[in-house]
Amino acid sequence: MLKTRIIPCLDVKDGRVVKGINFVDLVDAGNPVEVAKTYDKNGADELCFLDITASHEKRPILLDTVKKTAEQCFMPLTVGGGVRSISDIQSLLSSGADKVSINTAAVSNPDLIYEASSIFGSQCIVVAIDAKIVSKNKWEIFTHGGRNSTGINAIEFSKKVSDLGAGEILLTSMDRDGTKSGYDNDLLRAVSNEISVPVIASGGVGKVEDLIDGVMIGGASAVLAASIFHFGEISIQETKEAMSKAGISVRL
Amino acid sequence: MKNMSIAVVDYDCGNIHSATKALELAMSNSVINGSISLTKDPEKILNSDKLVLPGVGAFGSCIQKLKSIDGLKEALDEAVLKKAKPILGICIGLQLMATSSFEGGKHNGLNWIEGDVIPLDPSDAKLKVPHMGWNNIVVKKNHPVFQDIKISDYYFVHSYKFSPLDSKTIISSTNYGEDFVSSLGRDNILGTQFHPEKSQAAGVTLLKNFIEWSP
Repeated sequence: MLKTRIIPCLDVKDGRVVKGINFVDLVDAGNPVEVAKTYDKNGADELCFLDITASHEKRPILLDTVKKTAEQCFMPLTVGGGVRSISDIQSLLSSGADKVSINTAAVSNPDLIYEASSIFGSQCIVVAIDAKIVSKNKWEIFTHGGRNSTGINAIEFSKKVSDLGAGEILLTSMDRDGTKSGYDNDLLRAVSNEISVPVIASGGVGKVEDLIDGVMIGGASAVLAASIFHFGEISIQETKEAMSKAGISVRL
Repeated sequence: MKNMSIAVVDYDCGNIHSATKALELAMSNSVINGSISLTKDPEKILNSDKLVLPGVGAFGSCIQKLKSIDGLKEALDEAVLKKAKPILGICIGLQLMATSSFEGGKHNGLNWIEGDVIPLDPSDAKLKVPHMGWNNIVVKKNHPVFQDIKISDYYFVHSYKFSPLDSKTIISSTNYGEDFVSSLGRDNILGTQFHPEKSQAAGVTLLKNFIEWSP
């Protein structure tokens, strides 16, 4: 049976792991290589590495940091931040990324998703969607690390990029990110019902029950969190035991 | 015993770096000394003791890249079919061993193990494709590479499956709304649909067993 994945996320700025409160006021949470090594030992199912300011600053992702992180990581590694072209994807995959997450460029150039999935396969193309609620059951996409509004409907866009070949959607609620008030399960449910590829829940985890709700209520295939894991508030093992008790199939 | 040389075939298809890293760790855990090298040089491939064919990507583009490297396909055929060097194919590397694939049109494979690569077709429409994440395997046939591995969960990322003509080639199966082949092989040839290089302790042990395997 397929297990629900628990994915710690390393938000990286200037080569250091940070975690923002609504993407501003960053707090340092360590060296990405050391953090990756710890998560690998502790049984995380996958690791996500996001260079959160790469797109905003219009510079390429830190390949060297990716490479060093990948060397410590005998589990799947998704890397994102500032990915704009086929050659960006190629360099990340050859630096050790298993999947590449595309955010801003998926909005400005959706053909990139089609082209990338034709070349590298859908399984390594993740589209990261940052969505904010605008009215009841309606969410809009934001790009450039949540700085720019696009007017694009998040559910329609999810459908579009999965049709173009995205193998997975990393869905972040901008409203919940950094608030520790739980995932936006309405958003998760709306998107996961609409598309056939896996949805990773992101943004807002404050306690283990939030992860359980993301799966049970939101219908997510995987749950992502940063600060609750980085600051040792709860271990991966404790998380898995709690999820298992709640009836979710996990890798113990 | 002389040092063992393992060639990881580099044909510009996806994450070869992680396969190399995991093999290095596996070798340091094993009784065998040797070296892991990343190469597309036909001569190096013919001179190595064992081969690993990794890969991530779409079948059509991977087989095309492999065939476009001068002499590579011929060297692989000779190393595997004539010289009977042990080979491990991972994910798309396993699928490339098939007769043909139907991913984005029909493509001819290496035809080392007769069979087709066809879409996953889970009976439950709620199951997402790609099949992505940790799933358990059921070993159908004893094989030295699965020796001493008590954990049965491995990491999978794929939308297509290998359907072999001869069911005797099946080593393990996995369920995802249907039973599909998660590893198969014959003689010196072995392939896994899952990624041992991404499957933490179980995967590293499998790679160690591959290094120590003498078919």
